[in-house]
Amino acid sequence: MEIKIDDKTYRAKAGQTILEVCRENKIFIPTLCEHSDLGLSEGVCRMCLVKTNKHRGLVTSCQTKVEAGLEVITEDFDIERARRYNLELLWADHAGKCSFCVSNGNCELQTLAIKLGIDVDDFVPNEKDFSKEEQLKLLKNSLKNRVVDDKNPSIHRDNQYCIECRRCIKACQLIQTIDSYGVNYRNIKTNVGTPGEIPLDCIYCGQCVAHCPTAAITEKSNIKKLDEVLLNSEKIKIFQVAPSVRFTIGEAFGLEPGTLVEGKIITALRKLGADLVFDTTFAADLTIMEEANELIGRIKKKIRGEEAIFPMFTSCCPSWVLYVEKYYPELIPNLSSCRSPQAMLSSLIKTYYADQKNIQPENIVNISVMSCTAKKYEAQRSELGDGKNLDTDIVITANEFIRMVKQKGIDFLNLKDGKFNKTMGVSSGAGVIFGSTGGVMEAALRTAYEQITCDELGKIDFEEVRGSKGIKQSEIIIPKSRCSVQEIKIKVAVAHEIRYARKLIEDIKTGKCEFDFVEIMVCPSGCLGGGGQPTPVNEEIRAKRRKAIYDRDKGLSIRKSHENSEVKKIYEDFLKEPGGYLSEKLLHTSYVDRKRK
Amino acid sequence: MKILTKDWVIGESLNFQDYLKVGGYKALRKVLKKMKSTEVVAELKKSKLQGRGGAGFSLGSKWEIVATKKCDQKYFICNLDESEPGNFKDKSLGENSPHQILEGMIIGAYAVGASKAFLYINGTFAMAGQKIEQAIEDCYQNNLLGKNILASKFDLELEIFYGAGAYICGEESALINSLEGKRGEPRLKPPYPCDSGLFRKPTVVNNAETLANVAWIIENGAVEFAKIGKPDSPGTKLFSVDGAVERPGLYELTMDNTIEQIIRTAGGVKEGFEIQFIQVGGSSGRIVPRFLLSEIPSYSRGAVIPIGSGAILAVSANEDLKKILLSWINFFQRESCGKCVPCREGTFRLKSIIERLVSGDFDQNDRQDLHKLIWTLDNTTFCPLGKFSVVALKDVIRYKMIKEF
Repeated sequence: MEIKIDDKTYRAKAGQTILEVCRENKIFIPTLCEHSDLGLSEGVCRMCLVKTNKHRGLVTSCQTKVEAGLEVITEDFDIERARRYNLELLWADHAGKCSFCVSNGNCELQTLAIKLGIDVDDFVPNEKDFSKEEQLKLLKNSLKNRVVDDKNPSIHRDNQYCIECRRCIKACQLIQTIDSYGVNYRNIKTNVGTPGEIPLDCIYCGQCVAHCPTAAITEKSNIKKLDEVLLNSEKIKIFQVAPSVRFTIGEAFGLEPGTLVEGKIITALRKLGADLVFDTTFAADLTIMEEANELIGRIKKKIRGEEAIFPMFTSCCPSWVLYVEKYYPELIPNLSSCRSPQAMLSSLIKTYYADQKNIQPENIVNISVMSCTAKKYEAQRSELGDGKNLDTDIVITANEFIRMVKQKGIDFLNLKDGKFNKTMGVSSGAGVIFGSTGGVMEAALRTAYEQITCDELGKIDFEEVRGSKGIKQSEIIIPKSRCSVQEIKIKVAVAHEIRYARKLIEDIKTGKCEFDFVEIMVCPSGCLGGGGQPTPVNEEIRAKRRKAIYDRDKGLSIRKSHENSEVKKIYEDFLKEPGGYLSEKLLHTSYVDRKRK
Repeated sequence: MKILTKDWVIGESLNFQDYLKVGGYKALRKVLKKMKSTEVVAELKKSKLQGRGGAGFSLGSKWEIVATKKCDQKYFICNLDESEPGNFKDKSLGENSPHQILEGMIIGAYAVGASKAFLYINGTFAMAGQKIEQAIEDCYQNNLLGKNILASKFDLELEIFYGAGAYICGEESALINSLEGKRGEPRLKPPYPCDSGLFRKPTVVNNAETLANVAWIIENGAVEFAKIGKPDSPGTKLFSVDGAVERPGLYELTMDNTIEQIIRTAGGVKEGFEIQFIQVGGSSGRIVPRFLLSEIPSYSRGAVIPIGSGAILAVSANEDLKKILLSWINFFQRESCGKCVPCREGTFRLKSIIERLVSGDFDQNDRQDLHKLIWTLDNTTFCPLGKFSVVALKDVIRYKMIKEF
């Protein structure tokens, strides 16, 4: 259909909201509570008000659907003051907090305030007219309902920055179906928080962080801890960088989403004080070696008629592992016993690398730059250590890395490209695509196919497990060959976001479908949409990041994990074979039933 | 002329036997034995009975929308939340004549084809709740509720539900959220409850007083009802009269009485007092200055004084208007559900401005902000509560009742 916006005609599809049509046509409408990931908005912030010929008064463009003959006005005196006054009201509760806020400079409320020119503390009497006591009273008033929750290792909440937009509620409810958040109290005391303000107890995926427009929900910062370590010259500071963040960090410095900034990250880390920078992608290749081996083992058992547990689930996503432990502990035997790439690399650094270079493992500090808030939680799991010390010491998210670079005044865009340190710095395309949903599956299939058949895989791209669809399914046929006496069919599924994972699990449990191998990532589109990635984020941005990741894979000469030279070397020199004694000890783990009884 | 309170005995509640004696449930028998549901709807539509909760939407039209919906499940809800300050009509109805409400509900459920009904009552109305619970039990025991009511093959389950007493839960979509066990917050409209209400099914939500009229209309006919009161605002209305009058209390009057007449019915202005103004319809109601006392409050479109829920507050000249303003805004701030920015933040800022007005610290900045806030609350809130919170304030400004404004 056709609709008119500000006297110009535009095409629109039935079911679209006015806001969606405006966005498609680059007509600016301010929003705070609406987010394209989160379905129909609740119309809480009143920023997107417009006028139409079909409604009386002002209507929210985020909730009003288009209809034939609709004429929309997006700017006039009333609309302007409606937005301004409401923003002033929010600002009155918020102003003066920017200077000590971690989101300063990357805050949707602040950006909008600048855009609409809100610079006065309206609705709040001028402070200089107050006596000290009155000021104190005001301050106490505004902090009366303050809740700070930092009891978990991943996510930090401070509701003094909260504008009650309710995005976190929807992200948790809609994307992850965990439902950690809700609204407490009413009137001016209204708080968005957990029920009864119990400390957050979830899967720490950080989608609330990724969708929070201000700094009310952030990752639990390790910057202070890291700063201290970086000043300690007795320690050897070894950094690792997750596959996906090299495609996203550039966004914070004004680059197009998906721009590869691997070399600049390495140089920046060295400037910050890194002694060595390794690549988590190398460990991703290692994960594939172990995981493919585990899968082949299970399949061979099945072929021999022995008992084998299917489907096998991937285990690189810490939120997913925690979800299984908390909600479906009966599926723990289905989880691959492989550690995540972060955990594998950390344990190898403190054993293999330390041995090789004759360093005391206690003197090594393993620091990882991740896309993920849940990795902070994972690092604290007691299984992932030698019993005394944990393997991974400090985890920072892409956002924290960006903040550090900016704080230290590093001119990121003009940095020379650095290179990863040898030994654990070489990676294949298979490791790179770990950053996207379907990537682990594709990487594993590339290796499993060749290892089962001993033949080279003709078409290396498994297109059917790529893309942003919630659940992707496929059947891979591995033909008879010189190494395998019969044809093997592997049924695979890939899901991202818990809402789809949960559906898949229920379908598997009720017998509606059967799979051999299932990859699950908790965040939208996998790690590239992780809770620690730069904001803002939406499907458009994620699509660009995803494309960049697959393009990078395509451009690499080594695209299979088992062809990674350093992976081969570490098996020859140290680990001997996938699933061997050392591998089991250093690269595999166990899980705990954490269901609330 | 009285419809609702004609059989009431002061200080006593009409129990099941009393209600039968004064002709109770005759209308229901007539409906179930002789009338098709479409005829019931048509009759009510013809009567022009308007919703007594405040909005004045035609009851017949509402029923018609739901009745024509083809759906496996429909719901019928009676709204007895009544949290508007100064109102005590629905509460009194529940205490004095609960069967009158129930009879209206059963007829309504039959007319629209609902098999499940809820009576949503403000949880603070202990006495009314007790009487209604007893009345529901009596109905079940006498086959007026349950399976196959009066051998008509019509089944209806009716349940009482105690809300926590939040003002916003009197708004139908918030009431439905509360009934569903969710937070009492208004929903986006459309879809209206008639299309997608309780558990996303077509739902009628009617005020208790409105429903209490239904039996009389069925018995005496829509034509008779339409003759009472004003043509475009027919029937009688319960007025909760309070303030500086001789005999504050509940009065039933036809809808063609002026405010002056209503006050006179309540014994006139209290001796030794002078009227400052009258507020019609509770805290969210319009202010009627002395020169408008001869107006007739009604549900007519374009009425000078909308009747609202029918609360009449006579404010004497001795009262400090600034303090009254503060009590109003206090109420609206406390009862704001906190969903949208203008209502949550705006009523709070407005309250602090009025506080400064009372303490004498009101300045030019406050004056500017006051007008900004009134406009914002009036035009940009999610639900009508924001608008309600400044109705009286706007009148105070319109009639220049406070010089600082």
